Amino acid sequence: MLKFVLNRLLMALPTIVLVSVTVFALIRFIPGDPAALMLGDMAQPDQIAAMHSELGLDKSLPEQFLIWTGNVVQGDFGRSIVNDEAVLPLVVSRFLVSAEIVVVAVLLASLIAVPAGVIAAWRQNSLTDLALVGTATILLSIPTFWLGLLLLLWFGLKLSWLPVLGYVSVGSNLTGGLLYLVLPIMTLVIHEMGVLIRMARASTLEVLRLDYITHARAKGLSESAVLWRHAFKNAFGPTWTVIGLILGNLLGGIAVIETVFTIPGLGRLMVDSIFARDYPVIQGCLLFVSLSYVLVNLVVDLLYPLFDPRVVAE
Amino acid sequence: MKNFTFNGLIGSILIAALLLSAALGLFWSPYDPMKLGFTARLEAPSSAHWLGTDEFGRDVLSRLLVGARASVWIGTLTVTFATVCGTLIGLVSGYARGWIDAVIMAVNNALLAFPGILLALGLLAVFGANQYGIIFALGIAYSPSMARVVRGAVLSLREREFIEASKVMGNGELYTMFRHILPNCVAPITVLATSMFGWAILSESALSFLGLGVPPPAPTWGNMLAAGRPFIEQAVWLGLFPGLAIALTLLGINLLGDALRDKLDPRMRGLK
Repeated sequence: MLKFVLNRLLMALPTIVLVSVTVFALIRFIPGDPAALMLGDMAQPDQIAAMHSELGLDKSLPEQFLIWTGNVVQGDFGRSIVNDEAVLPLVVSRFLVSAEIVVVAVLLASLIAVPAGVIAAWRQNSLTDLALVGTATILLSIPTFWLGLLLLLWFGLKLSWLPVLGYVSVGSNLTGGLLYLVLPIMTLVIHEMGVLIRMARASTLEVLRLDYITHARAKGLSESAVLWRHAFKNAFGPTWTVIGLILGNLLGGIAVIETVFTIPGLGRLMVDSIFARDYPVIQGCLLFVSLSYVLVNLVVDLLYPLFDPRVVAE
Repeated sequence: MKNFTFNGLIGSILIAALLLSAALGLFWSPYDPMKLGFTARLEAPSSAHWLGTDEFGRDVLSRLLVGARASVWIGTLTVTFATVCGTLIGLVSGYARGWIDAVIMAVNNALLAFPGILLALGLLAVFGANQYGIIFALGIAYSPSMARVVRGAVLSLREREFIEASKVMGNGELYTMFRHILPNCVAPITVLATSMFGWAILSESALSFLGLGVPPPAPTWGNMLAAGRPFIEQAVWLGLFPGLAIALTLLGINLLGDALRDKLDPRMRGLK
């Protein structure tokens, strides 16, 4: 067990390093001189040179990378060019907004979609199965931003049940804050159900064909015992991995949902920073989200043996 | 198998409709998609404007047709870019093995460690938010998945006897690689490229929706939705039709992709 944990931790290490190098390199590829950008049009050459040495831009790239990494490790992600705010607290506060939506949505979607997928597999090729798979494929094909717009139009504008624009943090006003979260969460739940139903169904089908299921049935176990105690336990592993991937992908792609519902989350921060060419913030968002993605997948991997102890023995 | 033909048929019809609309939009549309008509703003669908007009009085159907062209064009170039780069990288990596493979795969995995369209967003900051910026950004973001799939196929192929035979016959490495290994990778490449076409169209419309894609006034389905958003209460059609176009396209690609996978990937057979 310890070996398994250490192994996974060691495997994550090079990924973390390479992701950091990529983020660092990406920002260096952006055309234009950050110092000139920060100082504006009226900057004199000696001011730009002074800013270069202040930002460390006069040093070699490997040196710059080491300095940058050192700062990042100490929690210093730099300051925003636009408003001189420290990047890390800004990114973290926006991340919390996005994370509450994404985590709740993935949890709800899994609770509905995984049983639905298992039942579809159990009744393969029945009307229930066709209906579930058909619905899942359609849900999968609806872009979240369009679905969000439609829900906004229906529940917000036509029925006036829910607030249309804006955001109140749940911390400051519990019921008011929750009302603003209903539509974005509903959008993501509906969309992700499509992926999860199909995944849960496919992995359950694979298990249901195995001999031990036939044996369990032959033994006279009830169908529900066969399905949930024997098949589901073995089938859940791949779905669990997909749940982790979805969680991370949503963090990366949350910008569109935040745009539809005007939520001040991490995705919106990143897009706004791209518009404003606020490189330290773009860099901070990229690094923060990609590292959380690596972390989420690591945690998913480490918890995997809970559902399938065989991986530890490998 | 009955299921396969039905899904494949619906998917093919939807994709054919997309390609036809794009081809049509290339040289004909009912109205000039860019022509402003201030007397005809936000008109509901009618016999004159089948899908209504937008906030500048432009014909929605004409803009959808021209938008289809943009989606297909960007999708095709992105997939071509990612397929060519990814296949070459995967071929070299899987065939060379050793330290070359290790280095290439390390970089590849680092790129794959970025979730969703995050890497594309970062690359857009580099290339600039326009049509070609999107193609490069998405193309680079998708290449690693292709490289991984091709490398996997090459690794299992290169141990097969007919590859051995080709070498024994004195064929060069490059000849063997392109004449014998590549043709046998076509199935997984086709399956992935089909899904990629869907990802590209979805990402392009999402980026245009965010304002990071093709800039207005040129119509794309994504920027039409974004522009129509403030008016959806008075003009439902502005929020309805561009999204429907994207959803039907993606549905077509998903159905066709499923059908292709069933046909080309024997391991998945019986699971559908």
